[in-house]
Amino acid sequence: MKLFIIEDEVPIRDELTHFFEKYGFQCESSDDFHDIAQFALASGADLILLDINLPYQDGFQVCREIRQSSHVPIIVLTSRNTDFDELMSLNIGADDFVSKPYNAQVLLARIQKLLSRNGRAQEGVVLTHKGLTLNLLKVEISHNGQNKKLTKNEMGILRLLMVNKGNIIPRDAIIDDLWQSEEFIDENTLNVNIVRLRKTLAEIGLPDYLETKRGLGYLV
Amino acid sequence: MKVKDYAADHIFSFLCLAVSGLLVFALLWLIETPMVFIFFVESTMLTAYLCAFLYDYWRRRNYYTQLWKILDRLEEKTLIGEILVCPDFLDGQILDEILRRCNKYQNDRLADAEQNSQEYREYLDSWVHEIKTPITSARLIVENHINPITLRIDDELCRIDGFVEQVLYYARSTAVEKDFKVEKTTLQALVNSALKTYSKPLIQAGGRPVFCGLDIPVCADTKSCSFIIGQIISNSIKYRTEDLQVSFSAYEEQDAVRLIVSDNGIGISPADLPRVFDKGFTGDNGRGYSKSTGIGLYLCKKLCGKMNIGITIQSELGQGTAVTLSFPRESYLQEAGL
Repeated sequence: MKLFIIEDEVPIRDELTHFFEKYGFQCESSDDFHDIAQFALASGADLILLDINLPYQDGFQVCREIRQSSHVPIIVLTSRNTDFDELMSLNIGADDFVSKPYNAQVLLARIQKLLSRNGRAQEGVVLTHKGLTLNLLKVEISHNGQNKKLTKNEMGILRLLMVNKGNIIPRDAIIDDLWQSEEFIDENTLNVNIVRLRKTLAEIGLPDYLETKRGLGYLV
Repeated sequence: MKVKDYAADHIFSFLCLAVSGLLVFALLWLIETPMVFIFFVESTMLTAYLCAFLYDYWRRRNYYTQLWKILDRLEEKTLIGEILVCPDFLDGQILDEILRRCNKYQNDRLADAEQNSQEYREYLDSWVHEIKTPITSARLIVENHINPITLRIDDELCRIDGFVEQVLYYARSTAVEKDFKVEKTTLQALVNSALKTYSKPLIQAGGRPVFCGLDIPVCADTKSCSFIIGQIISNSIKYRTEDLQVSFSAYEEQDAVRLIVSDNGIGISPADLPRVFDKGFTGDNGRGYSKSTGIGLYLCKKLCGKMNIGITIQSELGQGTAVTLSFPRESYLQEAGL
């Protein structure tokens, strides 16, 4: 699965690349904004992320140029969050519009939705760490050939931990992550979910996969 | 202009006329002119004076009556100098010239001030959009390196973003040309979006949202409404007591859908309550909490006014605060032809 990122702010471009690579996407970008549309098309990307404020020409022009020869999904990312920009983007063929500062998880969710709607299979969206595989699309985990389904919240928790493998993730950050997908859970619900997740992990032979760091958070 | 007032204004010339009339009468009487002639002379003088007096009165009355009428009908009162017709009497002409110059000066100053504030607003608008780029990069960096320290930085970034949003809406609330995009949505969607923005401080405060009957469709500008609800939530977080709870409930009335955002915080004293929507007002609570700016609710009120949403507040000291937002109902909007 390949993304092409058209963004002239280098820090944002680098961080987006870094972020999506963690989720198993390949990312490409270019510094030559003269023929950026041609580069994007030539890269054979499955989806294009497009900023509006660009050197030489604006994102709307780039979008039009891409649309002349391709139906590749385009998501417009911009800080100019006026309704006019949104309308303009959608009118000239962009598929979605996200304004800054965006939550990377939300952006990821939108990309996944757009890719699956366009019939581009997402075999690649799996996370693997220490022998455990989490399939984000099927919402299931597997280890040594054993599969188990998870609930939405359990998957959210495990996904956050696996993407940040080796780092301690505070409880507040996990709750916040679930809030961002409109699951407004509290501390008690989190405890229940963690217990259930541990039980499921134990059932497929990984009883100590999820570590608790007292007073700090969780770690895989 | 009444004749009485005009005559009172000319009392001195009446006196002069009376004195000269008496003098002429005395002189003619002394040289033994027949009474008939004296009467004739006196009445000629009086008639001449009255004719001149009435003619002048008539000219001025016509002119000033018209002027008042124009002024009353004029929306931009400072433009009166531009549309004046020059009168045919001297004092009116002088006044007309003065008024013209005064108005010209005023209008120039007004245009200058308006342009300045317009430029300032445009600068603020572009500044807000510029600053969003580094905030976005910083938050993406945090997202890629989650640990307790970067998460604390993220909290601060969220606060910066909140303040920046406030600037954006402040500029928007004073601009006439900024239109709102009204679309169909539900109260739940508006509340969710606000909760997501304020998730971090709410979770840290141990706050728990409680929903009750929010599945009501409304027509509203999603972004602005979420911002307003966000400001109310932010107040609930700021002025909380132990075990914060924020409840969102809604019910429908004949011409409005009401959303009530209530908390179990410290409440507002009855003396402060009527003034909480005033700009810069912080009251008793503000003195105890340094984070009060007196801008949040003021902005809410202003934006609500622009969007035709009612906003009221009830509170009891020590018990909590409830803010009610009244959205006009769809059927009501349709009847109004909107």
